[in-house]
Amino acid sequence: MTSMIVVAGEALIDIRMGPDRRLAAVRGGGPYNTARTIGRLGGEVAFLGVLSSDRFGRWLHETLALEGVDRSMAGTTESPTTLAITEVDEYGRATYRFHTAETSAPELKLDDVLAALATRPAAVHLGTLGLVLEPMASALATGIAQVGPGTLVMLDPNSRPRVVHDRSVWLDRVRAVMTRADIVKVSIEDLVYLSPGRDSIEAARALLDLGPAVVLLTDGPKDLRILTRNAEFEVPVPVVAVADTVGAGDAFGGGFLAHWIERGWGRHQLSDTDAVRETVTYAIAVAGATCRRPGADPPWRTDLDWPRGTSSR
Amino acid sequence: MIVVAGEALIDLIVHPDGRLAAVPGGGPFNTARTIGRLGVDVAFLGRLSTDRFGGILSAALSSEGVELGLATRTEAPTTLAVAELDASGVATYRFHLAETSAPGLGLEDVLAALRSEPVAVHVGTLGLVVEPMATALAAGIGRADRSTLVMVDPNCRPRVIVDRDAYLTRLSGVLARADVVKVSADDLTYIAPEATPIEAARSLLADGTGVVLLTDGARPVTVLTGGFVFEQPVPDITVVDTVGSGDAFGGAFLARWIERGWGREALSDEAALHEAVGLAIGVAAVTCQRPGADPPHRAELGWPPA
Repeated sequence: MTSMIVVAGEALIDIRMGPDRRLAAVRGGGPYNTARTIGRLGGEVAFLGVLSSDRFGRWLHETLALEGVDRSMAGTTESPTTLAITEVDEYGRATYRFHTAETSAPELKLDDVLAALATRPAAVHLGTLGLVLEPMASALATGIAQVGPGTLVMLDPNSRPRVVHDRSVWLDRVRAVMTRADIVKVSIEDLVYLSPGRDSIEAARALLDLGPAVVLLTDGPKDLRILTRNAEFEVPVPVVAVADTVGAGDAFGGGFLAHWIERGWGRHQLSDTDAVRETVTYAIAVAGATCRRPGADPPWRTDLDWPRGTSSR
Repeated sequence: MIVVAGEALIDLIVHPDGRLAAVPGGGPFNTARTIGRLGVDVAFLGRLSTDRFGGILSAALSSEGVELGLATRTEAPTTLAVAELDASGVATYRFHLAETSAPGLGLEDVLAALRSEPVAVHVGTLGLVVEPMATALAAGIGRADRSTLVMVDPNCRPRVIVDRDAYLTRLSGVLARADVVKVSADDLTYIAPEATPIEAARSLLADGTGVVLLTDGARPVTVLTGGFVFEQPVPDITVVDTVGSGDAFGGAFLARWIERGWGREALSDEAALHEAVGLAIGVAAVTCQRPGADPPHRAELGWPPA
């Protein structure tokens, strides 16, 4: 039985411009951050996405290599690296604009997705722009529908209203993926976009009807709420000194999967409340460590104050 | 009023160590700024983003006296040219054009601008490449008033031209209405690879252009008209870089021509061409002697106040 986790979606470069007009290039993309998190935590992980042959793309690629993320499923293109341009004002507020058309990330094709899933990974993680940008989004949605029964599927919609051109198309796609998803991680903001005007707990419960066994609802520094078909409970989120929350959600998802798979658990254990609680507690620690540091800089395994025995193989 | 039409964009320079710099650019943007610095009335006709890069471009135009009343605005992000510099300073470009600011200049915007019957219109570079701007400008130029002097600088960008045949067809349509065409030897190699540059320049005249100004780096500028041909020497200078020098040459030629009150008819006047080309060479030479597209101000050249 493989313990490989495949993380699918976009890798991009965030060009950040401060109020002084200084520029910095930052590696990003939700799935990219998630893959790095699992790599740093020592999990077996492969990134399924397309990287440019340009300098930004090579940087993204080299970073994955340094962090132990398998690149054999990652495609390469001559198109320039997908960019997010982030303007930060003097109050620290950020405005995002994306350069996605005719860039690297959307170019993930169905054949590549099917080939990756044919390796029967232990788990697949997908979301963010991976379910927005075409042809990647359709390829991933189609691929997930055909994934083998042994593979645990985790979805993090991580909605990006600014990039979603047609909300109803996106919504249909996300809902279709949910019918095969075992775990859905959603933030309160995701639920507002997914189910506007609805109470968030009710909206989260409604997701269970679509198929997932577990819904993990995050709400910033508030307690994490776990919803399953026969139980609902909360796991406390410890107070941390937050530098920023960039990549915290991605780190949470990565931390969850890294621990779950390392424990040798699969789809069937999702009804085990203790297993879910333990793993969520671990994921909260991983996200907390990410919040303590600026940018999407998830912890390495050795950075975590986590009893060694609990997560040994 | 001179109208300069085409793209304004940001060159995102990526140094080998990952450092970034944002440099305002685009051939027409540089040409408009050159004319502005020379103190001649000029308006930029192009689309600018409301993002911070767009703000930088707008400020860089208006601070040089370039009017922005014809420019349109968009929420789309600013067009980017990502330039990766290698260790020896050589740049490799990749463009972010799709769904960005510059290409979205529409026909209505162009026609509205030309309705003001400007004394001259300058078009070229990506303005004749990226759609829908390219088709809009080509169609607009075709309907320009008879009194308007049309200057074209193809400034070919093979990396961005997806369909060379379509580009050449569009270009030849514009050249048929052009009064002045500024071309580099590199442009002509792309446009007519089988001909020598002089042969190719002559065929432009045969297709309807009044004057061809053929630049060839440090070599003399060749001026060709239906009636005569002459060369004008280029001074021996220490070149820092050639960024924006062709744009400065075109801008300076047009600025001088219009400042002198000359129109389309004067293009057969050899002395007038001598004067304007000579000044344009001087302006381009100053631009070459400083880093980046930094054309001289009128006062630096010792020109009398406008």
